[in-house]
Amino acid sequence: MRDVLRFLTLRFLWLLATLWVVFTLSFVLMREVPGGPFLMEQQVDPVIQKQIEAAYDLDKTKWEQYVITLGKTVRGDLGPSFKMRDYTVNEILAEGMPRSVALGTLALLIALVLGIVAGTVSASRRGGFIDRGLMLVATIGIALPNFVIASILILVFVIQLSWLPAAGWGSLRFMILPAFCLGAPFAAYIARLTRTGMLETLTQDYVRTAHAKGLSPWRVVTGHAMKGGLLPVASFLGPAVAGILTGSLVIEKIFAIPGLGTYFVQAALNRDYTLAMGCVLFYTLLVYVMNLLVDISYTILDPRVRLD
Amino acid sequence: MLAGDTVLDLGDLHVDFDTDDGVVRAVRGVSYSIKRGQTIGVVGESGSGKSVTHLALLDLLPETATISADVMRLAGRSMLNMSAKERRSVRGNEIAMIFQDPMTALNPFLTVGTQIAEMFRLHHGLRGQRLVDATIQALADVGIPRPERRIEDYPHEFSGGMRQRVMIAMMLAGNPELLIADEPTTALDVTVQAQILDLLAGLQRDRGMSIVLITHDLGVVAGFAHRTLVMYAGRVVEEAETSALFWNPQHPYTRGLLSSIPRLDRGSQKLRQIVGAPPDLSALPQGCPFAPRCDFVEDRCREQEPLLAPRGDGHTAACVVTLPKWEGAV
Repeated sequence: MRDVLRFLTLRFLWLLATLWVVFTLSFVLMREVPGGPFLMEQQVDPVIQKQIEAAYDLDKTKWEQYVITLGKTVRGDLGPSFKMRDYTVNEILAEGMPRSVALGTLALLIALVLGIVAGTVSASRRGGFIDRGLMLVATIGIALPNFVIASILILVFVIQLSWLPAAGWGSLRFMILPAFCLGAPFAAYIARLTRTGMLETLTQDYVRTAHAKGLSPWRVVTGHAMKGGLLPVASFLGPAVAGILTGSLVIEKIFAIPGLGTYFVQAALNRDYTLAMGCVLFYTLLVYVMNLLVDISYTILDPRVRLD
Repeated sequence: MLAGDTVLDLGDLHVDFDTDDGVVRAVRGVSYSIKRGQTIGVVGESGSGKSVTHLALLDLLPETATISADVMRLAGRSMLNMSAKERRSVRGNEIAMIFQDPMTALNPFLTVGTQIAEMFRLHHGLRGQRLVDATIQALADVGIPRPERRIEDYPHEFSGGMRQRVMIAMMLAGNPELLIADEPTTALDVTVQAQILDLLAGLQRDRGMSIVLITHDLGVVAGFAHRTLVMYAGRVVEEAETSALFWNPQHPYTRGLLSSIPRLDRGSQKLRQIVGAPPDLSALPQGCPFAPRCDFVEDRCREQEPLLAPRGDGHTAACVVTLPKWEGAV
């Protein structure tokens, strides 16, 4: 128990350090990129321009801005959006986050279920027709960018069959296509990982022991081989979550989902310093927490691994 | 069932492996039988077919193996035309097997309690508290201290000898008629080896089961097995009561094995060995497969492979040469 507390405290301190580094890098990079939030094509009255900049602290030196922004961020105030008038960054995050999280979770779920089932079936039918077919599909899935998959699926399910809506946000029906497109490449990768992992454990002595006990082939795979065979999948979950997040930037755009990804891209293009910063910090936090969960899940999956 | 009944009857078992380098003939006509309560030692080098013979019995070989036999009877029932499901119901229930390395043979991801309980649930249908009690009792029976706490532990939290005890407890949970112990002590310290053999002997007395003890170590067989089979290149080359085998070995290979046992009373003289390596089972030479390594080889040995022939008192050997009188290992 004390080990676990120590582990969590340490990880929490690391999280703070990581967030600070990410904050600093983003702050410097955003302000070094040419352009600014209030540069317009049409000349604005210099007096008005000055007033706007003063309102957002942009008239101060970079150092002063850094300290002020950092101070506010630490207190949990990410400031007003520079571009979406009347909204604070906190409000925008709170609005977009549930959509993105729902989409990402569904995508991850699809990736895990499809990937693990396909990989396990493939491994237990090694070299056969089903194995080859599944792995061919998996290779295609890894090779195709998700916007290509999205276009094909829209063609088939929206335009030809009219089963699903093309874009927008509302019920679960709106989520199916984008979540599938987002999850598909990861499903393919997880399938390959599962297959490799399962093939390795299926040749282990303890699997032979399980057969010797008289267990059915199904029980041998699910009860004995799977835990070890899925370890590579567990360690891939961290990178997978990060990948699904970045993937959702594109997918949200294609399917016109008003989620964090869409706001993030707009913020970067518009030089909306505060909103972009909010998104960066939020994604950092999410990836970090997911990796922490993966590490903890490892100790549950493999009793020989301890937290430290 | 009467004492002395035949538990296992095996006739002319063949196992071939289909490999990239051709067909490997791992087992070439093995026949033997075990009576209830009897212990049989099976001795031979790596690759002699001693493990493959028994894995075939349990249908545990990979798909590349082709198994054929004239007779394969378990307590009077033929296993030859059993379905895969029927064969499965034999495993763990009537024939159980324990393996060489209990570290790799136990599942590292499951507690030992889970792994043992699985057997009671599968073969006796136990559930709930009765299942827990049976599992704890099984660990106690194999001499594991504080079993009620150790059922929560994982295999890596046990020592080598304790792990093998867990393995034995698990495999005996189905109350098998026949236990096949494949090199059960090879991976263990010498002192622990004796404890495990004692444990097996005690369990055999209590339960009246039969044991096949597979080993490359004649010393292990000596005090333990009623009868001993010596295997070479996929065949039984000698079979006898264990004491007869030690006092009057009738095959040059058996003599070679006996001579290569290190002995404390012989001072520091160089250990004798059987020169050469076992033959390639995918390209066996004509005649006796041991001929290239044999001290007593004659021309006729290279022409025809000798069959097991009786030497009196149930002693059989597959050698045509008249061997000199055995003076003990020198």
